[in-house]
Amino acid sequence: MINKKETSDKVAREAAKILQDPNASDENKSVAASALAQARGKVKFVAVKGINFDALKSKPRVEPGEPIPEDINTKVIADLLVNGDIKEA
Amino acid sequence: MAVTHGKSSVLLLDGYDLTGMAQQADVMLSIDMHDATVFGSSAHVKAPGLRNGTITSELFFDDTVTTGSWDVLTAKYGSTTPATILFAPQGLTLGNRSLQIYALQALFSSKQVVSDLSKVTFNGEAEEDAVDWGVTLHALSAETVFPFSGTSVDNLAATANGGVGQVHVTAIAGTTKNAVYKIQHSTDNATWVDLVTFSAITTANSVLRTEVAAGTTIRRYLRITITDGGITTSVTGVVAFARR
Repeated sequence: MINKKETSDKVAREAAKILQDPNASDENKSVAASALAQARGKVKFVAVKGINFDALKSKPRVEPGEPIPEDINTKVIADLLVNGDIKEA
Repeated sequence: MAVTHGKSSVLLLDGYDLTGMAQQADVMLSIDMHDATVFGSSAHVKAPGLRNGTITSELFFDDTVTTGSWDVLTAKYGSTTPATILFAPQGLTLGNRSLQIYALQALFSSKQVVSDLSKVTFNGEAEEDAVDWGVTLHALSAETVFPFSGTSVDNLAATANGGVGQVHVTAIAGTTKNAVYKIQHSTDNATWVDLVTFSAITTANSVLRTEVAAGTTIRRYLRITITDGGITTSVTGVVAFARR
């Protein structure tokens, strides 16, 4: 069954925080990544480090402080959050 | 098994390509072994200690101003700034193994034999981190289109203890020469995060070396990028990175 319920902004932010927390458990990070996936578009992120997104057709480069493109998939967002490469705007 | 030949070796020191002058190079890694044998033992017991690294290379005497073996090595002798050395036994093809040593020049020798060609020898002693094992991320070749993104090198797995990167630029051209090399890493070979950003290079025979702190995760894939911060028409350089 597909859960179409969207996660609130607040929950999305909490999920982002958990993903960035180096002390959070893998289980909590997994749940947080799932919550974030449902909340795409609710929370904006900016780059902490320079990032090239070669998977996108335009292959954009985002400098530190600049917003992350909206069409980056959630798995990549979660990965970048976990590694501290992006943060909430 | 594919065998390789010593003639493929490449030697760079502080942004100078010494390959065309060198006839032999010997990079040695060693670990002190302490004897911990006690009464009752039936064989020696050894305990490893500190690591060390040295390089010895013999080159033909070349008095070309600035770039010849004589000028490059005599300028380094007595310097308290270690030389950044890259030695690639198989050459510098992308992904090839290389040895990096950050060495103080401990010996310079000019040996002349009546029946032989003039040669010089130098010996370098690692300043602190012995020798690092690395791979080539960009061969010693020119790039003329910027921004440039290199082909990735797959380590098959991430590593977790930082590393060290170095770039040697042997030539750069343009009306306002300014090339910025970066090393990027990636988990998926598609999203690339800056790992090392070297200072802008504006002159030929430049070298830069940056250590990535111990404990830093280096992701599975590595590549380089080059951007033009001025009006650079061409830059010839090699980049290598060693995971620790």
